[in-house]
Amino acid sequence: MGHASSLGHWCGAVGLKDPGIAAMMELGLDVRRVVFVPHPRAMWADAVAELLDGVDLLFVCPPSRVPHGAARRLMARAKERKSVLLVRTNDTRQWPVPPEATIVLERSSWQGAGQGDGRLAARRVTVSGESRRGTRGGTHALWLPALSGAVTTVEQ
Amino acid sequence: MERLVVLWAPGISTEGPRGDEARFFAEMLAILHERCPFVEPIRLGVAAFPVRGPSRFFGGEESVVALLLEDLAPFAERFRSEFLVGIAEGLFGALLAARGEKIIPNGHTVSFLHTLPITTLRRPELSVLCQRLGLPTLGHFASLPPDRVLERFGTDGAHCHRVARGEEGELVGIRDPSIHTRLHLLDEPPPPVAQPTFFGGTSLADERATRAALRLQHRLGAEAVQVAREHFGHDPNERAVLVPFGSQEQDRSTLARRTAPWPGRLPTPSPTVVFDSPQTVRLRDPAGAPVRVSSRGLLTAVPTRCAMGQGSREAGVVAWAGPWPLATRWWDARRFRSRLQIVTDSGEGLLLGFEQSQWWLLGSYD
Repeated sequence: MGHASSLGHWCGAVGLKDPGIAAMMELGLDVRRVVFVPHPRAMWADAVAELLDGVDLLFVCPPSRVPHGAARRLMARAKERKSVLLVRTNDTRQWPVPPEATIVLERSSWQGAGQGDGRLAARRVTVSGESRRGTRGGTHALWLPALSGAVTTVEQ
Repeated sequence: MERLVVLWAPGISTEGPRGDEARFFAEMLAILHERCPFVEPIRLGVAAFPVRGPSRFFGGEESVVALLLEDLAPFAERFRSEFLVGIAEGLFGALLAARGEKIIPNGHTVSFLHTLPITTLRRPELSVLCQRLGLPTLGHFASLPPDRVLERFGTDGAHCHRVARGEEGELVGIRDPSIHTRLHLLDEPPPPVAQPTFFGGTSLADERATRAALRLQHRLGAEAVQVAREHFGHDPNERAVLVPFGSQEQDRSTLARRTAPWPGRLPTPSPTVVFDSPQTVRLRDPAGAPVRVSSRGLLTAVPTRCAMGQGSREAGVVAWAGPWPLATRWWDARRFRSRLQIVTDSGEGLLLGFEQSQWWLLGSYD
């Protein structure tokens, strides 16, 4: 999202309740080009559909389980508009249609805080990816964020 | 009971159509701060500070009053207000002394209060009843037996009774708790001279996004569709706020990224989740006793467990950083606030705040 918005693309976030805007800015997001709909209530699917018309990249947190038909329609809309739809779920059953690609956050650990000293400085995460066609993207270690504040791969 | 000076600027005590009262009040506080660093805003147009130190320094209470009036006189015209000063024991007494522009001699506050009408308590029901009972002054009210007052007027009545008897200095309702926030909101940089005018459309993408956002606002309500606006403060939730898309505030936004450190602000990275309504957290040491922040700004014990909210989700604490005291604004000088980062045994990074003698879950770094 950071990269897209800095290139002048608009982004949206639907259902993201308590966004840490300062953190978004630190990760390079140009928040002037982000439309937030934190509490769409019963209109979740409508809000997503509407924003897919307006932005290039949409990050959404579904309320609970998205009905099969709605999920299919939203994916078709994203495809038609050539927008990217990122869905964050805690449980794969929340989004019943197989997505083009899935990224799973496997592990996460914060570094830098001690017993009163230091600070939360960098977070090392392990992610794995898989495409719908079954191509495995393998497992990768990333700094999210690194000490510099950016997202980088972990040098082995 | 502490002797206090109260300064009252009636002309800026209520917000008028021009809405510049809070700004004038902030200026007034800044002027008073030059004379006394402990000046505190009480409500719009009313400030107070303990008189003991300044009185010793400036050679008596009369000199302090004269000095303050001299400091403020040049601003009377611009603020469209006169300045009333009074000194007495306790905030309630000092406020009433200011109303009458009086310095009540030490030890005479109670007898001064007893001459005042019962209506000064601003409790209409209690006042009406007392007047009907033939008790028109605070002195009459004060002479009632405490248990009878409690029985007849409830706990608030008993509190008023203690204030009238000079047993308590501060009447509930004098302070406006929102005044700190209102002053804080003034603390914004002026709008920049030139800024990108993304609203209204500078490119096709901007127009497309604007149209979609407006359509959505039409369906969900203006408040539901928001954009970020940078704000300057210590906490992540004070550093950016969401405002309705297309609002005036959005157009005035100064979202250019700042690299200069903001004094007292927390270390980066900032939490990715910042709770709008923080829950309370209980932090405990190995023996299960609560961990707090001492008056010296240190943790009172080693935190090993934390429990969040009413549902008491509990986790072990494996690492922590801080606490960091907040470089609070001078009128918060007596309020103690600090921040602590913790890492739980499930790998979560959390931001806690210690305020009002409690821990609060302010944000999450995951």
